Amino acid sequence: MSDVSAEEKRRLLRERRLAKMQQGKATERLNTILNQGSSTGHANVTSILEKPDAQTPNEVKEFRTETPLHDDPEVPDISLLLQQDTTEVDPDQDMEAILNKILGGGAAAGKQSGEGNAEGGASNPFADMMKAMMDSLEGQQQGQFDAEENSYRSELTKYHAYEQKKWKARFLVVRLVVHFCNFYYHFTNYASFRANLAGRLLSLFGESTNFFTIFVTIELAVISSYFAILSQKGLLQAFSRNHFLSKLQSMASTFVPQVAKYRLVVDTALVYWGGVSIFIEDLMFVVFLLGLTSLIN
Amino acid sequence: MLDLNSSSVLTLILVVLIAKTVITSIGKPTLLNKCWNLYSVVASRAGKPQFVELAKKRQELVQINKERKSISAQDQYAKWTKLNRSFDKLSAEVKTLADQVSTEKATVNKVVNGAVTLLTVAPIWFCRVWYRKTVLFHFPSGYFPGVMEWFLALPFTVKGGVGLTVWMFAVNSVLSSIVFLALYLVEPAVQKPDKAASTKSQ
Repeated sequence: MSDVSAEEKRRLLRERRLAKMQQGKATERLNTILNQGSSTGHANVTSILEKPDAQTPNEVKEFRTETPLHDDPEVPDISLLLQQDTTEVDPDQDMEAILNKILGGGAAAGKQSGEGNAEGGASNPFADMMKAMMDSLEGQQQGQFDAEENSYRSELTKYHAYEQKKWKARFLVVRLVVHFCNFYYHFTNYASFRANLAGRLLSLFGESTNFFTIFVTIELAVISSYFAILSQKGLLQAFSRNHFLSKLQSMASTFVPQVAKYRLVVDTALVYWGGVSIFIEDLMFVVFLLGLTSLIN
Repeated sequence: MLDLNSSSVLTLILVVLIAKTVITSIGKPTLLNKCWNLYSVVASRAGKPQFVELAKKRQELVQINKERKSISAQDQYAKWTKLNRSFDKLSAEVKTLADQVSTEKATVNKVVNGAVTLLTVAPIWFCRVWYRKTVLFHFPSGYFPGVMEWFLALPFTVKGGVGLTVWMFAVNSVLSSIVFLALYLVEPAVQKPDKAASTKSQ
């Protein structure tokens, strides 16, 4: 069948419909149709054509001729269905908004970078990512530099600690040898220079000797030269910082920051205490030698 | 019986402190391991069944492992599989025996710990209590200033004498100096770091 005959058909059916409407009895026909179905109770429906404010047949004709009932309705424009507000929404911007949501950046919705970021209010998520990557790269490089610097510093600290130990060992040997020589000289040359187990009353009365004078002189020379060398080599800090009191102070300063300002005082005190401890060690060495000789006697 | 003369106390403290320093320098875990190894050797030679069995099975295990590694698994699959099975079986037996022996190890460790405490800690505390006021020896007159003699007599001894506290302090001081020197001699040297080399590697 051609379209023309289809058109003719539609025209004929339309004319029949209009003729029926002009006959009247719209309500009766409506109720007849409704009562034919299984559902009941629609017998008292009033047709719109017979209502007081019903449209005229001509108006109805105009209304109905736009979309013929037997024809398929025209396919609506899909874009109209998608668009919520045709005056504002742009499809590109819509995708942009979706991308912004996905990327989760602080970008304002609906604005593109192509529109310009003069005000700085919008940001491209891609640019944000690149910036973050560059920042992290710089941080890594900085961290790498810091790590190497820290590694050098820790190695230098170890070296300083070893150097301080080396000079301590050298001076210890010198002290032991010199004090042993002083002791041996007085032990062999002075009969009264003996430790006695029985008691002082039985010991020989010693002549005034300069044993202790020599001892103190040696101590002053050794201690002053030891600290002079440490100071010259920049090892005095290693000397004091290795002490447990210095470490205790460092720990305490993390909780009580006021403690940190006494660091210099603590370092100086530890240096002086180092000198005193050398004197005590050498004195104990002399006591040890006296005790051994008391066993021999 | 407990009334030792001053020279005996002096000698006793000297020996105990030397022993304590040696044990501290060696380290207690190393000492316990060495004692256990010695006990294992002595026990297996004495014929203790568990040790003999363990030593024998360990030897077999080593032998089987050696044989297994010398042959190719592909060329002599049957033999290799048989050896592998024997190895696994023997490993399980060795493990069981080792577990049984480990209870003896705990006993040995307890004994060694007790011996160390008896040798090093107990005599010191006993002497500190019993001989705290004993004068071990006297200084020769005139060689030390009065202040020094008074200081060295602390805390319980008369002026001019040396008591247990000062003697122990003196011995510990000398021994720690000797240990320090010995450790320094065996310690590897540390070279000065080169800053240019470390920055070049950046």
